[in-house]
Amino acid sequence: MTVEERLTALFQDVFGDEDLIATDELTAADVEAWDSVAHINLMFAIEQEFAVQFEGNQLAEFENVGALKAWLADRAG
Amino acid sequence: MTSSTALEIAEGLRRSREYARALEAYQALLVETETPSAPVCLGLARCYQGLDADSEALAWLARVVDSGQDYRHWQAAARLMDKAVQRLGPAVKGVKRTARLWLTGSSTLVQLTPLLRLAALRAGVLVVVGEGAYGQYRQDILDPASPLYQFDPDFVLTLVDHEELAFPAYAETPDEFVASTADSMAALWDIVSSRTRARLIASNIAIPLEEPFGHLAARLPGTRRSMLQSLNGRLAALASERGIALLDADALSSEIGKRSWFDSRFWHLSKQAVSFDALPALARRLAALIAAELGLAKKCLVLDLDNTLWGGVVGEDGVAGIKIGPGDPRSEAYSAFQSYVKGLQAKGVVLAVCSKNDEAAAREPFETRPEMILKLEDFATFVANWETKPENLSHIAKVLNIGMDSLVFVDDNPAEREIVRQFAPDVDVVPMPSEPSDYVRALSDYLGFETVVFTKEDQQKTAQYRAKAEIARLESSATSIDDFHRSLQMRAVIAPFDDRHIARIVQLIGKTNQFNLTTPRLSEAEVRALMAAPGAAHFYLKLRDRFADHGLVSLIMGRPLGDALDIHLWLMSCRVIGRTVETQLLATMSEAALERGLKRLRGTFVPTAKNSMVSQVYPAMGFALEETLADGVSVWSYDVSALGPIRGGRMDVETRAYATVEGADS
Repeated sequence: MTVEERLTALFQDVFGDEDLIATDELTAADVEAWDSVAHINLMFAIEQEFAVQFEGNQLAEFENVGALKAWLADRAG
Repeated sequence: MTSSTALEIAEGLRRSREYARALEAYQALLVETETPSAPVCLGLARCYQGLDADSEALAWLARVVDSGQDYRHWQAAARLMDKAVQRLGPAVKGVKRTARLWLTGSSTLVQLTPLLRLAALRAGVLVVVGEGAYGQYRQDILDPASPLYQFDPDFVLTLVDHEELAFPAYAETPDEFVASTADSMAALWDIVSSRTRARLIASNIAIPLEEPFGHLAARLPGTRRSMLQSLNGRLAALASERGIALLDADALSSEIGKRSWFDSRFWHLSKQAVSFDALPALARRLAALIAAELGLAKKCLVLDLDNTLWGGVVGEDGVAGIKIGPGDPRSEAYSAFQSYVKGLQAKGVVLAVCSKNDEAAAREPFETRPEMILKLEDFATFVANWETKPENLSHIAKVLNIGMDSLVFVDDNPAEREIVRQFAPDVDVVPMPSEPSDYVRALSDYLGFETVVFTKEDQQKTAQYRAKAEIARLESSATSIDDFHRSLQMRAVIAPFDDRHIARIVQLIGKTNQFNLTTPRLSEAEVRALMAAPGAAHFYLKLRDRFADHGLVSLIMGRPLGDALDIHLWLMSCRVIGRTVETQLLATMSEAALERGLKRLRGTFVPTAKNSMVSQVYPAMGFALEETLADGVSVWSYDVSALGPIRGGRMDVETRAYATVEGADS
């Protein structure tokens, strides 16, 4: 599976929305269920899925999903 | 094709909304494993939800609980569950109880709430959870106008963590520290008990891993670790005195591993006292305690013999050839398993054998191999024949007079387990590992035997259930029912409820399903309030006969209502059905009515899914129908002043007006 597919499955689990696709342009403001609780759930799920660790509340600082993907790719590479 | 690509294909079909084809693809994956993985369970649930089959979806979501303890999948399942429950409304199937539960504590609980709903669903309980604001548990409990009290909960859970207590690394006066902390926690419990009808489940403190004093801490009473240990001991005593269920958070954190239970990064980030990794396990334990409080604990462990209790097949290897006892690693693994099972029996779990064998061959190891830790008398019933296991399980349930949903099945053979799952779906099946050394852990990971109290009756349960099987034989040989009752030489003690028996009384109220006229599930506080009501009449009955001491088996409670003594609670343990106990207690009640100058006995029957056996009890006792209310509820009346007191119990009765000295009647 590609990073986008893995993120999509993960976003759908965390937000309970099967129409959600983790496109590069997606931001927190686009997802209604993205509240503070879901944010922490998302952070934990991404760390587990990609075996990475964010620093502090780094996840909140990505401009959009594209920036997150780039960061993940950087870690994997 | 590997199963991961097969899963991807199924997921792809589901995402493109081809639910019927996706279902087939997921179902093809089920044959590969006994415990389907969380993604498969979730995928199936999503397909069913897509097909508007919410009941099927719920069944698969509950199975996520058995699939493992992955937070992300549990959280996703809980979200889907909420949707399904909402859409189904009151039509939710497969739920045995519903309960309102208030969750309060010192750390962030918002993530635990949905997991708790999911774990409770798996345990047969549909819970509505209300949750206190972060860290507000004191205000929640102290303020009579707080949301806790507005919520009117059936259960209040209090989860407190060590960060909240902020014990110093070293205290000069540790005893004072511990006592004042424990007392202030117990004071909060008492406030909840005095203001609500809710049952409490409190947690002890998970002791942190890091300890500045290192191993020296264990030797010094003033260190944080020593103080927290004393505190846990003190909390256990205080909870026990009050009949409050206690979640052993410290034991659970050790089981999970404290390195994983505590995650300091998420503590500092969002005040998670318990890590996401550990939350599913915590939810499962809490759900098991709630189910136990609601009387849903499993009663009977049904065991296979060959390759389950011993290594090898006795019919082929011979009694000398089976593997059990010291000296050989495989044999010792089976001995360890027997020891663990014996421990469950000591706790009050009833044991039964269900084996495909000739009966004589199956019994032989118990009779001739001294290494056997379990003995024939440890089993309430012993079924060895060539019938199918589902048939034999239903026979066992019938003989022991318990529901199929009270049975837990343990068998080394995956095919037998699968047959039982399919043809006796109410029976819980433990997924046993192939390695016998892992049997003990597999059974201890199964939480259906969690209980919240331990009574004298629990210790004698096997003897009582064995007696029932003996009696079934005697019954067929006695020429009349009176002969039969006489031959039992029954002796009863009838007395008002008292402190010494209150734990057993509350336990019976919580778990009696069949012979239960009104099925109120009362807390200890509620029982005590009813006991103290003006004119209240309340009696328990203890029964023994020539085969067994059955202990405290029946309860009746009434209060004056107009010219009648109104029986608002009447129940009896099913193991003494057909023994005239019901007549005996009703006779006592009729005399209590006369003593109070009341003319009638009034009784209500409230039908439930399980109590149809008592629908005709009142007319059979000579009561006349007074009125029929909604939902099949009927009200019955017996004119004691005209007809005289009820007679007809077939036992010698000793009545006591007050509690006797401890042990005098045992």
